[in-house]
Amino acid sequence: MPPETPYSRRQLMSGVTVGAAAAAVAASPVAAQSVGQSKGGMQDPRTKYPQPPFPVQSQPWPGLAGQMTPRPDHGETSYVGSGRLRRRKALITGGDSGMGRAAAIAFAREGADVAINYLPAEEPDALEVIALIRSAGQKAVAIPGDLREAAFCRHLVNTAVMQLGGLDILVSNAGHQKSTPSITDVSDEDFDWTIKTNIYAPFWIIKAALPHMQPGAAIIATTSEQAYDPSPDLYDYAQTKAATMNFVKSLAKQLGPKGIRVNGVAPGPIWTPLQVSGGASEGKIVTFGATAPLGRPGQPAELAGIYVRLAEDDGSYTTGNIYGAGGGQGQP
Amino acid sequence: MIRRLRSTDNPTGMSSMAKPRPWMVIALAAALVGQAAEAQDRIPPPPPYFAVAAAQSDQYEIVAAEDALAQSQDPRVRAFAEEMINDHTTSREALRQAAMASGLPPPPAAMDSDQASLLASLQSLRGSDFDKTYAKQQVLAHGQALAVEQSFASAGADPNLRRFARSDLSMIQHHLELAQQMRAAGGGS
Repeated sequence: MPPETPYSRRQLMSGVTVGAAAAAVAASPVAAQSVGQSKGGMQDPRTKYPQPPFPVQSQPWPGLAGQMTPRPDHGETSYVGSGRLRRRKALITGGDSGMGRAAAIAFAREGADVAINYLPAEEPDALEVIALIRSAGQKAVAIPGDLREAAFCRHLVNTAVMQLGGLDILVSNAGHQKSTPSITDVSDEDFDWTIKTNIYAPFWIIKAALPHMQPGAAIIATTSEQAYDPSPDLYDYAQTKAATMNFVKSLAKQLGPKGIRVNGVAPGPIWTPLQVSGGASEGKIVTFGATAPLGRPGQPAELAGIYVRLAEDDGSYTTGNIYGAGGGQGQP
Repeated sequence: MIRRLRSTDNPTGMSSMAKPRPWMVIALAAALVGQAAEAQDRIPPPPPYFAVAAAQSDQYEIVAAEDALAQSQDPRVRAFAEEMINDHTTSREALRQAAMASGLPPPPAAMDSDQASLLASLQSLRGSDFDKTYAKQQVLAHGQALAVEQSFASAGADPNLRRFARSDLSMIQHHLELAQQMRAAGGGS
């Protein structure tokens, strides 16, 4: 567990880091005590969450949210549901941390049963999410595995359908990102890793899931501001996010007539393990979010409501659209 | 180059408040062609705009230096970055005091969109590429800051902020020289 440093100025989210699932609820960030409830009230978006500079930190891929300083907020103590996804059955890839975790917590508190996929190395984060889903009174299914294998992707969908008794929300969120300043330093293996995880896996998973999805079901894909304004060191990652943005639009046209909605979420700079485990340079980590007009990175919790909106029945006319949370930078 | 006679009118008048752009263009153009000596001829920005521009400069310098300290291994670059953080933190506080003494709101610690773009390009770099780009950006940024400070120091409408600009001017000039040396040394050393 990394020590607290003077860098985390306001100590808002300097939560306890605990690996044990049983302690997951207690391990939730301190943030929400100051942040308060997610519904109602008004706060200054510039100071609601920690601002750069952040301590220099790096973890081996894929990284753990529980070892980040400050600890990200996924809505553990702040998200309040109101039955918007009652009786829904959701599968979320990359549900252990980042936006996937925020969506998993929110979905469960909105009444959905949730299956999450994650890498075996992400087990400590994932166990916390499983505990949080269960403490919301919903069924939680943990399906660890690497999405680079087609066979695993099909197994993932089949297991989720079997365990949940169906599937009507699919969040294709897991992604691989590795910052490399020059294309000449991107190895074939690196490129393949990124493309397999970010482009092939959604293809395999959606293809496997569709036969189980009825009219009213929703597919949500996590794209990025990188789809529209790529960073030079994210040559491979950025183009996969452009592909994601694009498949959302083609599939929406293909599946609209079948009553299945397909939408995307485009985050700006969000404080997630993906960034501190090779996704960004150390300098970018320290100054993360400083480029945004709000002057700070976003927290996964700030996108939870977007995933809920795109999944819920009230969003029934929204399909083929990309919703953003970019802090004032980036598109759409 | 755009030229305007120095007006004796109050530069905080509504018409200039409504159009903040011309002075910025003038200041930037002057910096780019190295005609800072013509500061006397330029119309300084209205005090609130000057305060915001000076605060943006401090913010950009501090954040870019934090990036450099996390990223650069070059002792010269690191020493420069340390100095930027120290000096611009001091400058930020002096600016805040001056603004409040004149009844202006303390300017926010935010950078402008051009500075955000510079920082974003810096965030993608490592090693000597980082050092070179940082040095290049520092020359540009301090050249621009110098132009803004000079016009206000000579003819700014607010005495407290004018005093601040005059003392800040020598710091910016010194930083510009250091940045030019850093750049001439090939980025870092």
